[in-house]
Amino acid sequence: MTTSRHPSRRDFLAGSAALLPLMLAPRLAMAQRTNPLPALPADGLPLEAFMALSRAVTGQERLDPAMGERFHAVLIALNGLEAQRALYLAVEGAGGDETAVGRALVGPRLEAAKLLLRGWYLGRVAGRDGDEILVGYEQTLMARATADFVPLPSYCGGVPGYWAEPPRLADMPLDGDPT
Amino acid sequence: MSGRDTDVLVVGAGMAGNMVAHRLAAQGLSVTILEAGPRISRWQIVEAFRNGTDKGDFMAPYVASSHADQGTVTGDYIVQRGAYPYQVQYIRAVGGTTWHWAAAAWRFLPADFELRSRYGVGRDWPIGYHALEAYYQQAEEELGVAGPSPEDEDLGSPRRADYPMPALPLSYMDQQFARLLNANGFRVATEPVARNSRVYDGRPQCCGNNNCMPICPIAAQYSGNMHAIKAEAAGARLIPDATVVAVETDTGGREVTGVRYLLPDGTERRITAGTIVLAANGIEIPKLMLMSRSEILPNGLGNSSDMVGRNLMDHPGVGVSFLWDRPVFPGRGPQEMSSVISLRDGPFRSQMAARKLHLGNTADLQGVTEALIDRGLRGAELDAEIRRRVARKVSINCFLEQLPLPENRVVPSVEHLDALGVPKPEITYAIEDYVRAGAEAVLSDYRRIADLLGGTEVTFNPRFAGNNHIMGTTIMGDDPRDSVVDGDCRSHDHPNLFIASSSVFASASTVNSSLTIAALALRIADEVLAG
Repeated sequence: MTTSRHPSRRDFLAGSAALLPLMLAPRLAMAQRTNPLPALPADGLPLEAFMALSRAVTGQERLDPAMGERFHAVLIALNGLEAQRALYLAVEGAGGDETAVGRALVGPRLEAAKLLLRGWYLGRVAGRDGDEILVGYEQTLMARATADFVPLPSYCGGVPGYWAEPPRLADMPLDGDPT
Repeated sequence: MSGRDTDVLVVGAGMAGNMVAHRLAAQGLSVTILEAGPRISRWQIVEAFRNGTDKGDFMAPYVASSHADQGTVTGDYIVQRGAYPYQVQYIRAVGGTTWHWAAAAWRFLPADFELRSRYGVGRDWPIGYHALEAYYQQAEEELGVAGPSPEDEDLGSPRRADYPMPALPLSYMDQQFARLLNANGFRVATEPVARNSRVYDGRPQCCGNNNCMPICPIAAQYSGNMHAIKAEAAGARLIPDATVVAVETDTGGREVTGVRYLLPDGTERRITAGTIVLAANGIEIPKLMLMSRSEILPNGLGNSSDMVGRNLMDHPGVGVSFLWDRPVFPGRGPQEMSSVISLRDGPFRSQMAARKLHLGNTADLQGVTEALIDRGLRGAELDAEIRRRVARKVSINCFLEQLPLPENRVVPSVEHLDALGVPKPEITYAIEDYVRAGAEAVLSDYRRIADLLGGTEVTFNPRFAGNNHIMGTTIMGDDPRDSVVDGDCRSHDHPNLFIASSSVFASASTVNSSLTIAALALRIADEVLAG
């Protein structure tokens, strides 16, 4: 059995046309009700709760568990979980009503949500000394959002010369006709 | 070897030094290469890139050795003294800076060698295009260059034979760019590149990893370490982690006899040679020559003209980005594929810099996403806007031709030393009016191009960016009173000293310097062989 470090991305790209609807479809309908968050323990933000919060804020049902585990560990190291716990309580208070979630994202809670989004989308968050800390690369949500037309840099994008043709697009908005 | 340690000593294991070493070793000469930096491996750089947080910093995966710091925009190795920072990146490791490059392998135009006589500015080279034509072809074969057939596209540099490989197909975006601009008075050409369009020289065909900078993960793109491998296979001895601190001469100061170098722990070694080739780039070479002062050579090595370190040039660039009016999907294929070449030459060069514009083929996924998160978008709205913008956002940059001016210079710093106690490079640099006038014209062209492509959110970046083409600091000329090397890249002062580097360029032209460096390096090797 091969033990490639980045199998999911490669596998994904290899069969992109067939897999794309499966990958892109499980998005929560943000304008509607999302699954309410389970109750928190008395303190802290366990990994399971962090993942549930991440799903609620990103609107993505499927998040990479290994990346989530690393992100969670980075936040613990940065003493950043308290702000995420406050965000969790605000989102929980919205009871799955997305409009109410949006209203709750102000001030420190909005900043906490942006940090969550930066980690999941960009794969990096700000450290203590102005340095950035890596959370992920292949599994980031920015890569997922564009996987049908942006090969992830450093990975082979297809058969040589694939770039001469416009990409086969998934069923996602692009607002325009490439031709 | 007549009691010497080596027939030929090459200082610097980048593309130029390794090509000289390879050709000479293959002809049976004993060759030694000294390299200040370490050996590095492609897989290490690829992993460092993937695990790095700033994917746009091309130097980030190349961590400098403690004993061989390197040129970066953010570091403090280069000491800036001038009106404008000379922003330069270079890698000190076996293979040199072609570990990361766009692999653009342009020939100069014939006019580039005759700037003074044709346009009354700058300098002429002591050699013309015709002297290099055969070597350009050899260099293209050594590097493995894919380019358009002269029957399909005339790039302005006459050639006797086709490129070794046919051009890679243009990306969908580049095709649209060429079609629209060529129909509106511009001339867009397919860029010749040292990137395989088929299996070549034991390396694979490009499969569009879109990571030419900072590292091609599959070696479809040429990098200077490949000629290090070839040189060693041919019998050359390569010593990494060896920082040369002085070139020595005979008591008369005429012939060079060897060098002194430091190991990482500061231990000094000496090696003697019959011929020395300096190939350590346009900053480290003049720094070393000026450090090599002696009683008999108080101005440093090869510096009777006082031109060593002077005439520093680059290709300063200004940029633009905008959203094309339709999705064109940048980021598919190699990072750069086509250039606007209409303004590489013309009578205007008497008044302003010539220039080449190039369309970037990278997706600004990070920048777009970060800006949208900062704006407060999330969920489906965020994803949709990322897609809309990334599929349309394009950027164009340019190379402006800079003139050789003696006041733009590099010297070894007196105050600032590196970890080995070796002077850091200290640079005095400014952007002249000739370049500024060219930049104004480029910004007008950018506006016109953005209009042609229905561009919105047009953002100009008029601040001059460095492009790491370090030229002019050991300038070539016929007159030993105002130049450092002759037309054969041989020191006017020391007949057994050669310089293989863009530091010998007497004009900058508008194109990447590597292919001309390679052609000159092969010519040096033949000169050494001829005795």
